[in-house]
Amino acid sequence: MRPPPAPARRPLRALGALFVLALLAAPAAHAQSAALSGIVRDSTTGETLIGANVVLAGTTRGSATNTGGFYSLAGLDAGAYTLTVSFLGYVTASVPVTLAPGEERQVDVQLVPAAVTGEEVVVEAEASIQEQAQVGLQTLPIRLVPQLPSVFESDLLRTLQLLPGVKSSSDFSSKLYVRGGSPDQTLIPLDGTTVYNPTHFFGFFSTFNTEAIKDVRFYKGAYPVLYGGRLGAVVDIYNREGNRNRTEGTVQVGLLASRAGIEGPLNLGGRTGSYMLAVRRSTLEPLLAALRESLDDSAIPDRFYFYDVNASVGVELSPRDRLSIAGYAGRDAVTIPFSDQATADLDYGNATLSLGYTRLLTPSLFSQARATGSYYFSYPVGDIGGTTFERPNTITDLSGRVDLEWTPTSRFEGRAGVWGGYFDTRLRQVFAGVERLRFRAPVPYASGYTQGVWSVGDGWRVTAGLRGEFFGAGMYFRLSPQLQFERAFGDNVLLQLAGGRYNQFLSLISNEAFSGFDVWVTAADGVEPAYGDQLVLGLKTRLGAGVRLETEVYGRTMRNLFEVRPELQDPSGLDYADIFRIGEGYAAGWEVLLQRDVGRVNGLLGYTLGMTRRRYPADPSFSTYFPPKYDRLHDVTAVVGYELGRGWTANATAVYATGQAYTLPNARYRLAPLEFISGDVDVFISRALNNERLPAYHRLDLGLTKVGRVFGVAYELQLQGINVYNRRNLWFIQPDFTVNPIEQVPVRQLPFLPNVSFQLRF
Amino acid sequence: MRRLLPPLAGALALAAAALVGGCDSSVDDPFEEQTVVTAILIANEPLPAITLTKTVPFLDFYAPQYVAGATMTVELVGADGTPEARYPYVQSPDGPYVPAVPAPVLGGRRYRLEVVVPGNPEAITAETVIPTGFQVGTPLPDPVTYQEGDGPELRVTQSQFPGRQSIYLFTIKPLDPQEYERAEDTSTEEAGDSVWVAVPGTGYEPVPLVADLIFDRDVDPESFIVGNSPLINAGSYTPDGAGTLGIRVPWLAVYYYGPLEVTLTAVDDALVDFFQSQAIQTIPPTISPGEIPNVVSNVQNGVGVFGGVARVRDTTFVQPEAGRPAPARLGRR
Repeated sequence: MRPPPAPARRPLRALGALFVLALLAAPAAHAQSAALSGIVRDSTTGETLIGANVVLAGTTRGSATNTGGFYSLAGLDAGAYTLTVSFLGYVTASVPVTLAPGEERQVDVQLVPAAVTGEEVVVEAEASIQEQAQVGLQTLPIRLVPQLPSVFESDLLRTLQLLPGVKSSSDFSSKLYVRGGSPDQTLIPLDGTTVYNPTHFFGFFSTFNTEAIKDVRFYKGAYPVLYGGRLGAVVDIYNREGNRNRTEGTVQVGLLASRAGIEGPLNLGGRTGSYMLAVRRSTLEPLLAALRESLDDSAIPDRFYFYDVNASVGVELSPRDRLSIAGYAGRDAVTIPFSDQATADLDYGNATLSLGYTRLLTPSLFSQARATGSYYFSYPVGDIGGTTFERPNTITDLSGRVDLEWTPTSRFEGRAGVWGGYFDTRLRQVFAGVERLRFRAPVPYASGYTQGVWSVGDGWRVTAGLRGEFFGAGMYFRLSPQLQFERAFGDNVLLQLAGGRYNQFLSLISNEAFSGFDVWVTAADGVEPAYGDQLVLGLKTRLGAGVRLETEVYGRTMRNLFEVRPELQDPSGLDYADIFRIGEGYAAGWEVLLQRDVGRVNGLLGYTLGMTRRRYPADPSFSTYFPPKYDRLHDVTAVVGYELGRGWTANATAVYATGQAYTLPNARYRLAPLEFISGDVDVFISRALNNERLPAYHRLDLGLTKVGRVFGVAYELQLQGINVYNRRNLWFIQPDFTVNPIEQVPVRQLPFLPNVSFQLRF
Repeated sequence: MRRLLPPLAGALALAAAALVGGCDSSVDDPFEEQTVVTAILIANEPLPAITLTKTVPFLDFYAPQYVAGATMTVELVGADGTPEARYPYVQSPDGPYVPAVPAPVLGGRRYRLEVVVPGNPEAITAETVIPTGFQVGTPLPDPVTYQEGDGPELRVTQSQFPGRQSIYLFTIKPLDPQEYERAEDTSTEEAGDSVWVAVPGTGYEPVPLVADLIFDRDVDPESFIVGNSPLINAGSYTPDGAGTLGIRVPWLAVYYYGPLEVTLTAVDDALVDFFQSQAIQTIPPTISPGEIPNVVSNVQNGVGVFGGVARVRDTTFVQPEAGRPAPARLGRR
């Protein structure tokens, strides 16, 4: 085992010094300069809007609202301005503002949804492209998610799989493989709280109820220093806070699950606020019971359900203070009675709780404090022929963080924050009454970051950030420096170059076909954290109102990937470090995205040229670079929505991808019979791992949505067809060695599937 | 903007060239015949027969063809790496190679295999270290009642292996199982459908779990001739004061009532590597389905395994659970 690293005093000092340097480097605010700040909300619901464009018309000054809906424009000269606020799907608002020398003014703005006025959405007075287009950030109109054709249920993560640079392992998985990274390299926080197993139905769906989501910020790479702990990407999800103006509810009935929600205003001792409650539960039991009886198939569960509950309460303590509590709980449970002598039960789920406090300390200083808790459990138990087994696994993650955003001048924005917490994972394995494994890793962790954004003139902007992370298991301290250069050419063309280092202290043991057994393991003494570098070159252009053409070229490395040895049959008695293999890899790609967010015809067209390779030098079976299964050279996605009128909308999603890699052996043999082994020992030989490709994957999904009113109640009817030409895409090929000669058995993905859902909104 | 286009286009072209050149091509993968070694040396037992066969193309019919005319020697290797004893092998009429002179395998010692196959310029070589022999401390209770408790326990002294804890697997073999034949399925109207039926008067009945699989799910009874565990580390068990380990036989692995043989086998590194990597070829637990890594073999210039084990055996008799009618041949005991 390697000795623990030296005390981390020096990096801490470096981090502090950089923070001070960043503050000193901030151009001093002119004594008489004025500032404008505020919060942008939806006029009908009062929800804060994330990423709204805020500009001073006729100037080059602009900003975008942060995750609290807050904006700040500092370093302004005294005078009369027109504050113009726009956001996709809303009517642009213009507010005249006159600022006196030195005045700091808070101007909150409410935007009216275009759907309310019936106006066609025209995006006017967009902020400069520098405010809108961050490196690696993929914005996705959340309203698009429920409209797209979906397998039984609309799903956020499955929608993200349609974006360039994002791949899925199969039709059966909602996990994200982003820019050559495995799913555990993507951080998925919900209201700031990490969700460790964001799946339902063993991975088929994500846990996120699209009815409850307000916004998602998806960083595919080169993510900013305020996030950390993952090598690759971030899917930052925010739940809705609820309607602050009136009480309303929804009921939706679908083939797989039904959902209901209610939200409305709160008045607590004169303080206004809102609440939101959204519940979803599967409704498969009657169908399963019928199938089980008619097919007499004991592999069909006699108990299966999942549910999730999202709830939030927010209260305005003052115009500058807001307190919020948001929670999520979800669970999957299944019982499969294979026979009178064999049953298996599996329960797994997540729960998160987030207590947030935001305060506008000054018009140029925004603060956010958050305490979070995340809990994950899985509890498979079984009894086969009188032999019982169980494998309870839990994760508890408690943390607190404080973030500051500071905009002292027109040319500098600063961010800083600290985060600390306690991570505890426990795993036990009991077989035939004997405890075979007991593992517990209670780990304190902490991190701090600082970031400065300097607008240096002539369209140039420089972002420098540094994040320091401490992980208690192994006493590791790691730094993540990041640097970004941007050059805007006019209002509509932006060239970006960003790079940084990223660290990861956790690793996921996962089965691609079944997420219910997912187990997270940690770095520790002798198991050093993974790290990787990313470099991204981007060119972003706005071709017109609401139309964007974006391209990014990326390259990234992945080092010290610690993964539990897949062949290990029994970890008992081994040192912790001995259960791991250490890998490395790289990925590179070119992504192009043409996206139109407005108009009767809208959607996106994406293309990815990508490759990724992995190897585990000390593992003889994986020692040379090989393409993982999710490596695909070409990915083309087209998503089109067309408003037919009279409440009808048509949607289509088409996907084409290079076939996935698989191993085609070129030889086989069989050992002579061994008396201590059951059956034949068949062995396959291949020249290289994943040396062949499945046929190309392609699929077309179509959907039709009708919205209207019946008996005064708004409704939405969806008719959808998945894989409408019934392309029998291959998932993998499994050699059947029980026959001679061996047969290559194709295992296929989803056939054509219809889907119907009906939603009432009251 | 014009100034930027050339470098950007260059970067993109470079990335595209790298990607197109480095990916999505199938590997030319011609078949190359190799010699397969199967040899398991068992501590305190005579040197075993060693089988040499050939690999075949992946999708060809597999019929083992013994390699003839090879020159084979097994050496007992001393601590300094020099041979202490040499055991020439000769091919038996059945095909496998057998020692010209019988000799016992010594636990805790290193053995080396060298094979020269006609037409193959490079000698096939392999080495193994034999786990030390061990004994039964406390035998299995006899008889045992099916599904009473978590399973019968066998206590054994510990085998030793240099540099690591011992690793075991146990094998459970019914000694007098029922026999089966195919018969017309009278429960359906489909002509030609057949099911497994027991041959009257043969062996003991299967336990309910196995009966369900054979008779109701048409699983081949051949699957239940022998059952074996995965590899189990000594660390799975807590030794008692005398240092013996209690190995529990799970009911899951008991297929038939009646006499039962339990073998506990301590395995060497070659077999650990071989079995662990072979298992994930067919049942990938955490790697992607369709991703088939090569098996780790200790055979140089060939494939297969030259392994060493030590083992103990014990027997017991499995009675039916309380309340269940006695199996047909229960009265034989």
